[in-house]
Amino acid sequence: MGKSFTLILISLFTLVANAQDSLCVFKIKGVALAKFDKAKKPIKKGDILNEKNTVYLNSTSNLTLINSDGKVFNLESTGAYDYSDILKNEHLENQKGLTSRYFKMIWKELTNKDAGKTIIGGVFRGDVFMEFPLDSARIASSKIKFKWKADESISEYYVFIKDSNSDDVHKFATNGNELTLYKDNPIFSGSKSFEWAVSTKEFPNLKNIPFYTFTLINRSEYESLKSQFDDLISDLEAIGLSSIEIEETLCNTYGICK
Amino acid sequence: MYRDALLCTVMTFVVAGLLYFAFVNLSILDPFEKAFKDFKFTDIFYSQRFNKEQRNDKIIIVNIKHSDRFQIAEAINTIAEQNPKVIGLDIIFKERKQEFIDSILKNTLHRHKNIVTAYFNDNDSIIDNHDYFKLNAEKKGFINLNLKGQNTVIREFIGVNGKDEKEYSFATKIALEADFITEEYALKELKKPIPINYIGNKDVFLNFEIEEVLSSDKIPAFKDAVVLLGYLSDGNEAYDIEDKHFTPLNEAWVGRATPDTYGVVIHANILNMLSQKSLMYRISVFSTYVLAFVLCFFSIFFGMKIYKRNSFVFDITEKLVQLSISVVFLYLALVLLQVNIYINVVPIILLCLLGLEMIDYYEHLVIQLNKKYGWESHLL
Repeated sequence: MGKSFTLILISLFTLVANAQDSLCVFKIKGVALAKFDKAKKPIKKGDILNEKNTVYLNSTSNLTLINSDGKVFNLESTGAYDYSDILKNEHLENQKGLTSRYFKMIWKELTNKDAGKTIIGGVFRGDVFMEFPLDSARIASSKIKFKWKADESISEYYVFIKDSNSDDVHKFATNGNELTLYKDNPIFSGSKSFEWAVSTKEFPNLKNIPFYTFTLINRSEYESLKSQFDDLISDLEAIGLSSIEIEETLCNTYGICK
Repeated sequence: MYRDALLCTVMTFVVAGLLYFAFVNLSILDPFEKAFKDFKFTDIFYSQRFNKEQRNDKIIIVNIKHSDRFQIAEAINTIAEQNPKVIGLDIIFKERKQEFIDSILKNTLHRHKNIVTAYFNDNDSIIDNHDYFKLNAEKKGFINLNLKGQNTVIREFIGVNGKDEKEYSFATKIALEADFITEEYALKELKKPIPINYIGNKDVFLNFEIEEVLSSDKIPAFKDAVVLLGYLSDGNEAYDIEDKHFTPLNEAWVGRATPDTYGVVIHANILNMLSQKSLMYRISVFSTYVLAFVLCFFSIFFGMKIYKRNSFVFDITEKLVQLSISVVFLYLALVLLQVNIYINVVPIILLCLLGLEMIDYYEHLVIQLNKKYGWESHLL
């Protein structure tokens, strides 16, 4: 009788344990934290999260999780997510029906939209003009100053700023090696993540020129990123650098700019 | 009209057969046949990602890059500590290199009982690990991806080879060891070529670089998963074609392109298919041609009706109808593919298009027959 009772209890426990689903961290960009046993720890690819965990995300990070059915959950905005919040963020992109995608493709083929692609027989070398902001920079400033290498023989440069999410490209022509734009400019309204490039050609093939990325962040995100360099900041303070000089160092070395 | 449509359909099949044997079998035109073998309309399904987005965290790939044997042994040890179901090594240690390092690798391979190794058949010989690394009861599977009649594009696989002594493919052996399938199922279902139900390229599988594995104390996802160790580029993936093959996942579904999928990802796709038992049902060649005959008959029948009513309208609309037939039939084939039914739609489309073209020739034929033998036809 006792044995049977123990067996039933074990079976019930196993059933309950199996019923609890879990999520596997599939991809992570930036830094995300999760609360494991009351302590917050950084999440790594391959970690398993369950109902007991809460995920903390800042604006520069995004996280992709999958469940045992292969469903994808994407977390992109700043915040704290418990298990049920994560499940509300199922990734539904590319879930359009076969019919709509098929006929869209047929229409593209009929209208020959992919025709006329430029094919070149050569390679690009040494045409990276961009100097500032650095590649993958995160900028908290309301004023974004772009700087690039100057060449005396070139009279006009073309600056291309591309929205990473929509692929919208804005072009600016200038005769100097600097361009300043403000954060309230409409080109920065739709997204936080952008790419920029400088070319000496007015109509270059944008697929063949290198782009640097930058992300716009707010002050609190900047402070949070800065706090990751506390040890370095203490060392720099110890050698006598002022707070402005330290911020410049972080910006020029690590691409975290105020 | 039914009789005319039937006779015209037969004529279409005869002409198509003659064209096939007269042209395609001529060795000088063999490139045509080869080119067409590399092309399947249904590749669009995978190339354009019409399949539903899926991910898999129970089949994990570890990119070994060009790591040395010591690093590979260390990675195997780290992975084994996390208790995966099976570790699949899509690597062949063909020769011995350094005595000490080799002894470490041998020790690692012998220590973990859930390792599946790889070999391949090259004509009549078997290429596998050096005898030094061989285990007593070695679990191994063949990694050959080319099948008879399959050109460069990897669309199908065979799970079980051999008559008396059975050989299992690498993915099949892993599926057996991981209890995804039973031996009975493998012997029943996987002896003939089966279309691979690709869910995607390496991005749909949880994958790690070997450095990530070596530097981590614990990767919880490895527990109870199948971990495949193979090559997924050593940086600069776009220009790396080592162990990279053509599959229907290639964005260019016609014409020349660069290889698109690493061998280990192909094995992972097969394994995913076996783990879900979502095998493709292939409609037989006979059924395909019966269906082609029926559809060709109806295309000709309705074509003749328009032709009889107004041949000018028929001539104008013929190309439009042919385009519509191609688009609709291909769509139906893709819908079937979505529910794991594979049909070779090319002969169906070609015969229907040819059937419509044959109406004019059929009319000329019946005019001649009518003059000589008094043959009756609705087209006259």
